[in-house]
Amino acid sequence: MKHPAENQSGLPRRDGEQPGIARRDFLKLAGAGTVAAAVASAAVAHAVSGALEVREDEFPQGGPESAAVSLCGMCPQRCSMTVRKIGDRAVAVKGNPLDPGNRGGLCPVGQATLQLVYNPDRVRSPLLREGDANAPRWREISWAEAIALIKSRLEAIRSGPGAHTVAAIGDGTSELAGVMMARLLRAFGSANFIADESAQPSHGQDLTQAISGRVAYDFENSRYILSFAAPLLESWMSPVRQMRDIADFRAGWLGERGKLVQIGSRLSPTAAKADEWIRVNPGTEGVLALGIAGVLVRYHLYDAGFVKEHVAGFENLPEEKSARGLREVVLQDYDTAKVAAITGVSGEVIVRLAHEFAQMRPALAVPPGARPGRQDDGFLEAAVQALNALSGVIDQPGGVLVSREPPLAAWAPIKSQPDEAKQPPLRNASEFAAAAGGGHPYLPSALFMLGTNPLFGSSPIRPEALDRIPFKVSFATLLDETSAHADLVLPDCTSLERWEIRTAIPGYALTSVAVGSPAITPCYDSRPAAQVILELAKAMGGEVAGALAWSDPGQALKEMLMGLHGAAHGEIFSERFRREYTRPEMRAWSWLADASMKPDEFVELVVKRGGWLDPRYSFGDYASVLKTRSGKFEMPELLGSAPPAAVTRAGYPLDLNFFQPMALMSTMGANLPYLQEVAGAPEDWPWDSYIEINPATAAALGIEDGDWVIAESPTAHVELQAHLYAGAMPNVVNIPLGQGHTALGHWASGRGVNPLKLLPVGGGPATVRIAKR
Amino acid sequence: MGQSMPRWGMVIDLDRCSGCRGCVVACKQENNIAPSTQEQAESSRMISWINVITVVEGDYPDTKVRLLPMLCQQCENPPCVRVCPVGATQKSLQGIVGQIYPRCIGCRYCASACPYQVKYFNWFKPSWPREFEQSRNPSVCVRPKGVIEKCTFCVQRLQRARDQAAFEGRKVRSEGEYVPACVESCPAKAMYFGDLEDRSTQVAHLARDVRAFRVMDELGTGPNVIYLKEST
Amino acid sequence: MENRDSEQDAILFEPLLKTGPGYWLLIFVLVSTVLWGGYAYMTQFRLGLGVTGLNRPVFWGFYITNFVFFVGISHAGTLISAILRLCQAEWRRPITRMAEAITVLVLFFGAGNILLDLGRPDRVLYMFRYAHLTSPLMWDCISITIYLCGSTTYLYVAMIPDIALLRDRITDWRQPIYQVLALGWNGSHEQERRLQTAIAILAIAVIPIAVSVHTVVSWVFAMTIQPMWHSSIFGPYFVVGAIYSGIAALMLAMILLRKIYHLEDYLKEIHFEYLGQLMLAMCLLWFYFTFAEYLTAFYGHEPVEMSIFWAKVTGHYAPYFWTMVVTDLVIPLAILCNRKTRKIPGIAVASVSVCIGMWLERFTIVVPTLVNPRLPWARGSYAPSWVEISLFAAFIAGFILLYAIFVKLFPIISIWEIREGREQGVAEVTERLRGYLPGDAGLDQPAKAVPLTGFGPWTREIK
Repeated sequence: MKHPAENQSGLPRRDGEQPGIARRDFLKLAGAGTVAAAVASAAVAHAVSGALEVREDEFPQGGPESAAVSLCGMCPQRCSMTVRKIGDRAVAVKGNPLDPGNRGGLCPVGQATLQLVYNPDRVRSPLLREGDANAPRWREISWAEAIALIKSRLEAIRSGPGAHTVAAIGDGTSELAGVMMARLLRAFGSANFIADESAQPSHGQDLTQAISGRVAYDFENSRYILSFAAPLLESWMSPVRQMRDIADFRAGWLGERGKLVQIGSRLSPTAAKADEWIRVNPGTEGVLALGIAGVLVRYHLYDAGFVKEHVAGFENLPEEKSARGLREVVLQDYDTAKVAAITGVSGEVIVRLAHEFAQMRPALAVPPGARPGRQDDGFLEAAVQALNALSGVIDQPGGVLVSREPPLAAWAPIKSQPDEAKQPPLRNASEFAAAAGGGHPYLPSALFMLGTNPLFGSSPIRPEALDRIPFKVSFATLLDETSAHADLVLPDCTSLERWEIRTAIPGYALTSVAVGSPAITPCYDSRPAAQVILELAKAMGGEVAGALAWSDPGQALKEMLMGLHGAAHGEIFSERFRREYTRPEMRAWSWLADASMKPDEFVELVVKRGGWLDPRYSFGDYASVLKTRSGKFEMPELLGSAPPAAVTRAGYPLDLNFFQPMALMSTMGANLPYLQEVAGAPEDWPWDSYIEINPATAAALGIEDGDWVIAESPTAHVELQAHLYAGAMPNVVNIPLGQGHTALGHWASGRGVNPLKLLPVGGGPATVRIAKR
Repeated sequence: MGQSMPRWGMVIDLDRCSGCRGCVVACKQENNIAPSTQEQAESSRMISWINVITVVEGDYPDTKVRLLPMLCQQCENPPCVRVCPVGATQKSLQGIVGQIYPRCIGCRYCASACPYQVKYFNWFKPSWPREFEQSRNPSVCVRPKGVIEKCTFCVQRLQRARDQAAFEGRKVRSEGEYVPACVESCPAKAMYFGDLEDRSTQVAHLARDVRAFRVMDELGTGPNVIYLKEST
Repeated sequence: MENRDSEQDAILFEPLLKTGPGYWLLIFVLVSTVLWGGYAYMTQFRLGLGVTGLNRPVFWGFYITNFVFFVGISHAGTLISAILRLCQAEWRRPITRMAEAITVLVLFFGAGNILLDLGRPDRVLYMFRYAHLTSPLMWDCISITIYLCGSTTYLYVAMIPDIALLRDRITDWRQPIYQVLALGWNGSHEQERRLQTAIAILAIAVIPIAVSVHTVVSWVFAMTIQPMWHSSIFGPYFVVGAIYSGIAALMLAMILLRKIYHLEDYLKEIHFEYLGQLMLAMCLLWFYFTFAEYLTAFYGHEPVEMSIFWAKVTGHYAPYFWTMVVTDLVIPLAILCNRKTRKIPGIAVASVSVCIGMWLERFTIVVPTLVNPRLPWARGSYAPSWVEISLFAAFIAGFILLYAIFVKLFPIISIWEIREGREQGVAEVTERLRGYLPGDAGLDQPAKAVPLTGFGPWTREIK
């Protein structure tokens, strides 16, 4: 016990020593305090850390992992893809390595498919429009009601204006729904199934060989590709296949590196990757093509044998003095100096290109397909085909081929067909637009729209025309601008939720059939359009029901696949093809089909692997590929007329060039955030519209990179941010397509500008003037 | 005798690459990278473990556009690993520079030190629309806010391949069995992947190609991503 | 004698005894700013670092700049107390307490900025649990912890005699604090001897620790391979810059406290004269390092470095860079070179200028390198958001707040040292001088014995 005279340590207190806490106690206190503080702060940190971790109020459902094979629905190539599923959820898509078109690859648009499948803005149930098309209000109705409504309207039309007035437009990415709809219309009495023109670029083969919709370009075997503004590495016909084949072509898998020459008015991604970019004045590519043809003819560099045997219209016809043959046309009207003046390409370059084209055989010329605002594209298509004929590559390796239709079994013929002589069908969008706008030859009384959005693009169909049609039904996954005008919107399934078939890879001559099965159950209350058509047919009864008597689209599809079982050649998608494809002579191999399987087994295996293919191609089979009346390749007469003149408008000095970035090439791409993130090619200008201006031109106008400018044409004006791009020609400005939606969903709507509104009303190319805002 | 541990590496052929950015979207889908917004893109905060750098060189008309898919180079001598104060980024025995999300304190030192600028930070809590959560990949975690993330050569696929190989009593094949999402998806077949130590693989062969180069090789980082330059 | 002493230094006790309305107004303003900063931080804590202006590639901005800046200022105390103590410079006496207080208090805010900067502040203890010793940030952590402990101990130990004074004098709510902290000080010889030993050891120890602190802070940048960071000069460069900014901050504190608490008798012109000369020397030394750094970069002309160089000299960061040159070199040099302007008003201007300039110096080191990465993608940009600016203001306010509280708890001028100087200093210095000079130095008497009477009021006869 301590004496008060002692301090804490037990020593006698010195006078003046204060009672109080001694050093030792202080240290003890300090130590205890530190420990307490550390513990307290650790506890706080732990509690806080718990609050900061990711918490899910509900995890998505788990389940067994499985795989399914579906088709991508984002572009006409319709790549086969494997879908990885957890339970009933799709969590990954990857290219099917067995599909000859993509061979396991998948472009960014396909990779983003899941953002469409699970898009929050999907139409969830059938919607009936109440109110005006410009301010629509939608009421949800049941499927039964929707089908009953359609049925009643169709029956009213049959007894009223007539069944032949019903029409349908499809966008080509759902082939099964398209053929079902066409069949429904035929059974009902109408021949008006219109394929959206944007899905089918390239009419050159139509003009020269009288074959439409089956043109194929054999890049793999070519040595020289002269691309006339064809966006080969961005969209065009089958982007994934093109990217791979052009890469192979340039790697020289045949032993010699191929040369890609891109002719165009913008340094696009394709032009940037090409060996050479030939800058032409916009819209004059056709003139350049004929200029090159002129050099070929003048120096006898063309395939005279082919021309003599199989080409009509090259020489003048003695009996028709007024019709000049191609030889005379190019020699007289397209001499190098004149072509150089029109196109802006120098004479030396024209001559060099012609010599390269002639010497690096097989050389292939490629057209761009339909381009908004370019009126000369028919002329260009014809000129390109003429070049190919002169090169002698029609139906030859490395040239222009015709893809063969696979031996699918045809469905039972429909008993009564519409009388096309009496009631002329509307064969394309222009005829439809004319009919809807002017009532000639009749006003369409009903319109079905299958996943197509003509009001957003450069289709001739305009909202006013559309509004004149009394009854419009739209099968839509997202509510787009055109669907907003529909009377009834039916929620369509994405390609992962439906049966799907692909009977050809656009632009690729390898015969194949790809089959997509539904990987997951349809989201919300959506139903595949094909299935809805079957239900509608059943409800309508009679001949229509008889023509579409399947219980579900899968059954109909499998019926088609039965035809493959009987084929003498061809094989189900297999590893063998994937491994051995690198050998170019494999096409000549005999791919005898395995006949030992029973038909049902065969079909199941086709569905399981994703498709069937026959890589054989018999080259030089002119009887099959030249279907003109003369049996020869016919040089188009329009090449003899003057080419479309360049358009200049005083006060609007800059030519407006539109381009389609790959990320937004799908109609629904703008509402998929992953695609918005990678839009803007070749540099990164995502999420918004912009205008590319040549730096010197911009400097002259006092515009800097990033400035807001107003682009004005006689029709309209838009505000955009300027992007100084050294790949833009001095007199040309470029604006990307794909933005500027006013519907489609919350990512797409209100974003950017749709530059098509700058197009002149009567048609033709757009010219603009630019000023800083 | 080769090493028993594989050294995973990638070869990207710039001649074949067309800049389509299929690899970018494939990576985002595979690795649960939340979709971003225009604001994030404009304020340079978008996360993209693989990115295609585009450089426009030269003046009109002699303009050239260079494309360079850039992802974590999985360096042999990573500057990021050295500087992490808690060791949240580490080089694995198989050559992958991994990121330990629960340990990262978000100081962003590694991001500042990386000469390739391929480390990404979660500035906010990543958010998905509720519907998109359905399609998240269950093999990959979702990162919280405040941590760094980067390309892992889809290490979840390596795990899967190893599990399968172990089940079958063998080693993971040097090429073809384990492929990251970007390589798998490339439409132009411009990317190759495999064990660089196994000389019989195509990737090891291409890594010694006359066109082969490594980006900023002179810094001594020792990248395991090799590029083949364009052959124009 | 006690009374005479207390009357003599009464003014030093006044801040502790009287508080005017001006003080409360200041506290109110500071607390409001700190609370606003608290709100800003809660926003950041809740939402994430996205509320700042940081992005990729500019991963570091205000917080790291402020971290370096505040840690730099903390070098004031070390220089004054430790170095001057070791040099036995008598004029240090009124300054030491102020300087050491700055060191200790500002170090919290320096380290605090790192906490602000972390994406996961809840995991900060991982730095100890998973310490990865190859990381310069880890070295920072260790070094700053040691420095903080060392400086706090140093400050505290040097305060003990004054605390004992207060314990005897002040009997309000602060009494228990002083009671505890005085550690039973009674001024005995043994205690005094122990104190002097402790102070001597700490003074020597704290100098290399302080040098190491800012050296490792600089190595956070220099150990990366980023252009314009990867420079061997960074170690000494940052230390010199730290001392420079430390002196400026200290002088500002001195001027303000002198004015507010009427300490003209203690902080005389001569103190400012000497510190001003010291600041001039640091200014020139700082300029030397800066010039060497930029000349080397420019002469080497490496493209990646040059893009950053030009960004600073003529590009986007030119305003910051040139303002820094003016405020760090031109203004202080002009003021401090000239004896006429090297007075208190001039020094005030120079100090403020240097504080601003040194902050800009940190900023132009951190940000332009990040804005111009090696790979040729689009250059980054950085603009601080309201959160970063609020927290910067709140931290400055917090520091001043703590300092203001310190002034109310402890004498801001070391009373015992003043008294020691008054009583013993003259004799000690005379003795020393005698030792330097040759021969008998003009004195015909033997040296007077110096009575060791202990410490002022606690002197007691040992019976």
